[in-house]
Amino acid sequence: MPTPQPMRALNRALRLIGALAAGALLFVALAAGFLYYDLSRDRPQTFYDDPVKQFEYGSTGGEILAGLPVGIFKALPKLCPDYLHGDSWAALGFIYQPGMDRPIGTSLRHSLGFDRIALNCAACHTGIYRATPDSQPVIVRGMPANRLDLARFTRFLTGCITDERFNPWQVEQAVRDTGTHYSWFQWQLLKYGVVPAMREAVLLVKYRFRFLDHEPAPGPGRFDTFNPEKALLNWPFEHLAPSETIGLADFPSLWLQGPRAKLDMHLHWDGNNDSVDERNRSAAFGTGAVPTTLDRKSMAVIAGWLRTDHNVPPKYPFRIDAMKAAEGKPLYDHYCAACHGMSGRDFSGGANGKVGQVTPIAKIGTDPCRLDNYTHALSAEQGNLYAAYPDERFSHFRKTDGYANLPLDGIWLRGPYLHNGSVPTVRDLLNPSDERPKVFYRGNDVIDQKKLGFVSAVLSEGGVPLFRYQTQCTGLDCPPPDTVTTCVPGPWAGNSNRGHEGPAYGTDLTPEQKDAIVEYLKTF
Amino acid sequence: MKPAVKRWLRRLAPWLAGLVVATALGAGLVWWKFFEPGQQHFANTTDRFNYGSLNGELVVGLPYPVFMILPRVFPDLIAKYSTQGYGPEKPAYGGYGAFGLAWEEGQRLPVGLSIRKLGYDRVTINCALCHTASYRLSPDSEPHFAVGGPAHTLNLQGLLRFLIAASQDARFSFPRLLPEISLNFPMDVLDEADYATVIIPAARTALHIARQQLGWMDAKPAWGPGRDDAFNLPKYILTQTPWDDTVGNTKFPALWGLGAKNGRLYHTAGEGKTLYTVVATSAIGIGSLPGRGFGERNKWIETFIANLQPPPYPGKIDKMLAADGKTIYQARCAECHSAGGTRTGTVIPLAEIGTDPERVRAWTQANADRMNVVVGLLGAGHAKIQGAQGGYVAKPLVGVWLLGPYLHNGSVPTLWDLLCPPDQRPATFFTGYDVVDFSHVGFVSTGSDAETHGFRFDAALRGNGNGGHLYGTGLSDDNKRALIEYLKTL
Repeated sequence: MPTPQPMRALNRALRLIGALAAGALLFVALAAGFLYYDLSRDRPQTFYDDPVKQFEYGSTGGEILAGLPVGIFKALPKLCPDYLHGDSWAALGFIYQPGMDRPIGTSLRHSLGFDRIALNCAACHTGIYRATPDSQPVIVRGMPANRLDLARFTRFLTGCITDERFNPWQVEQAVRDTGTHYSWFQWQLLKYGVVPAMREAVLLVKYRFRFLDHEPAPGPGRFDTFNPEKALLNWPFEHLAPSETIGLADFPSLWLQGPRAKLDMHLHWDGNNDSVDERNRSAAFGTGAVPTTLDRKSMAVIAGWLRTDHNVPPKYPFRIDAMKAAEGKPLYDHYCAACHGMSGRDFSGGANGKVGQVTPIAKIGTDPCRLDNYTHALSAEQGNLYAAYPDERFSHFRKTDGYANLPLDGIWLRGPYLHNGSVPTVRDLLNPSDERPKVFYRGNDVIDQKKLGFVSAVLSEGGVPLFRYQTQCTGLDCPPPDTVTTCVPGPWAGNSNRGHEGPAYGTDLTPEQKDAIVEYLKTF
Repeated sequence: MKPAVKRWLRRLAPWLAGLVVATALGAGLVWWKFFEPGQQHFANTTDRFNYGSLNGELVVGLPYPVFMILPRVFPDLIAKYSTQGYGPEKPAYGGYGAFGLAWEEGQRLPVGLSIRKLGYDRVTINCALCHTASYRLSPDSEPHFAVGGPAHTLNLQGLLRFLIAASQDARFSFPRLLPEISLNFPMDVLDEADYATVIIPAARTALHIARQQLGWMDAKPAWGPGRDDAFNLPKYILTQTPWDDTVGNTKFPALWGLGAKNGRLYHTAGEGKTLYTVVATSAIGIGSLPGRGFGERNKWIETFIANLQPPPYPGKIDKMLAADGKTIYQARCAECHSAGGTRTGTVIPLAEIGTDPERVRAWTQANADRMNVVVGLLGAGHAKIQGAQGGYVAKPLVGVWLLGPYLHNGSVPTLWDLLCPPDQRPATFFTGYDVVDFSHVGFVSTGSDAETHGFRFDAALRGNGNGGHLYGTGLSDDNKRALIEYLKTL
């Protein structure tokens, strides 16, 4: 019996609907597949055949959590130049090399649908110097980033991204103006996904990093080492004991990690950890790399290079008065070698060597804030960082009672001196603290060949004002003078230039003897 | 069989087989994800005591990844509950250390917390939580930990209130907790599904139940650091006895010298007749289920604590003075407090000792009978305890310098104060501050540091009375000094 006409029409309609539904399903499945493929691709840019470049531009894995899409990274300085006092990242002290369109200390990774940029180790551990204001800058890997102002970097990001200008349309325009090309899909994702997500993320960072509002500005070459770790653990800063709130410290050099690891030296300014690997993983938090996102392969290459014999400071490139240096050597051997090593390469301290050991705060007498900022409670809680990874879990952090005696390799590139960078030159450090400069200027990259360190008495360089460093509170609202061993918060707290002085530290030698020691230290 | 039935069976068979296989696979998955047990390994017996599991994971285990990140999600609640009742200037910091737990550097969690896998890593507590003393020798120095000492800094009530408050907070949800967990633990899709549907809701439900079961705490004086309501906890929770108005706040005792107490009575008011009973009932009290390994583990704990010794007094001891003090001690104290004293380990009746009576009233023979029935039903019928014996047990004095504040309720801050008549003992002082008081012996309980870091103890509150134990209060000051000098050596 033939099918009746109406039934046949119904059949046809049903089949059509079926086909359409199947088509729609297929489309959704394909779209989901594409999205999954596109957003889950995780490809870091690597330079494994060139470990130095891997150090400069390789990834810690920080982009996965904290990476900015390249287009936005390039657009931000143009979007908010007023926060930057310039129109390039170089205004914050980032260093560009020919042939790379991003500064040293940034890494690139394709993640969540974009090429994204984050910081790496080299941001804080690569610096530059010049012989005279007119000469070419020389880039030195492993040197403290003497010009990078990380606090201003943080304030720039939080300021710009929570600013009205950071809206989908102005961001799109600014990104287009940088010449970045994105697909239609990427533009949609950027405008309606990335922009709101970045605002959310920055609100979190702004709140968690509120400790910056309660301590003196670090300025270039310094940051706060362990308050960020407290921020990561989301400690209630408002309730901390006041003495624990200020953690300013200079960026250290990363040279000669091999010998440091071999001698089990106590690392960080207060010597709170004797494991180089834990130090590296702890520092990687600062680039946004957490246990589940750490790029272990890249970190292994970088850490491997840091331990090679090639990771050494450059030789002092200017004239050394050999006679005077020879006069300085016995003085150095007598006063300094036990704590600071026999030379810039030999880190043994002789019979009573104390290199890499901690000198109690009551003895060394330097500013106690950074020491007090790191507490037993924090060191204990660090025991559950990397808890899910038995081989990587932190177990070497210890609260100490002073500051560690560090080797002086490449000391000519490590000014200003002391853990808080409060003494501009080595020669000043050999004076008693009341004869050291009370105010000086940081961020200059011109070497002070006479006093050893960077030029610190000029107010600006190339028309850009330098950072005014004040070592003590002088106004009327100053807190009572702090004790030698406990940090008292207030204006300029953490900046004191006292300590490391007295007969044992050579501060009462004659000026000629001090000059001789300075000359000898140029050979380190 | 009828062919029709046969045909049906033949048609159903593959489905039935499929159902059986699917059920088996599902059960296997559930077992693997939620119940597969893991082993703990320890370098030495002290670590086992400090971090070993008592097998309470099933009943009272909290998922480690959740437990670990709670302080990071609720810093405001950490600050609130770690300072409640303390001086107004009490600083706080993040993490569980804020509740006065003994946290050794390099360890995943503080002493007294165990991490063991049962499907997933679960955190439980063990003996060492309340029985590890934390002390410092000066305000600028770092803490030392004495195994088996009373955890006089541990703010257990604050910790419980923090966990409960967190579970009541809207942030205790999958979308807020998962990102925090994912920063620390690698999670695949299956893990995320577990956390979304089972692990986080189950943890929240468990803490909701804890809130109901601990509701009586709010009507009684605060425990403060170093104390809990040791017998009301099992009375209300384990035996589900209706809440009454008793207050049983007691100091965590030291575990030192317990081996020497054989044949004597245990617990504050003589509720335990053998050390094994004390260990077994305490273990059940914190969620350890009688079953395979229960007796063996408790025996191990018994042996371990029987050998525990306190650290020697870290200050100077005037030997001449101590020798004088020894004579006084032999004459006035040894009968009740020496290991071989005739009354040591016996109950001194309330009428004689005169100390705060609340703790004795909190645990009757009826309470003990009910507990014995419950413990028997759980399979540990041999661990029988009795009601409070009408007074307090005279304990052998071991590691006295770490036992402050003194008396069963921690109502007298120092030995010097204990040798003063009650009207001269401080009516309020600060407890839970961990710096040793070398002059009066005990912990520093007055002055700005103690006021900043300590909990304000008020002897006027119920259960906090500082009267009684008048022994030695009539001695001359010189004799008191000599006696205290000798007590430092114990």
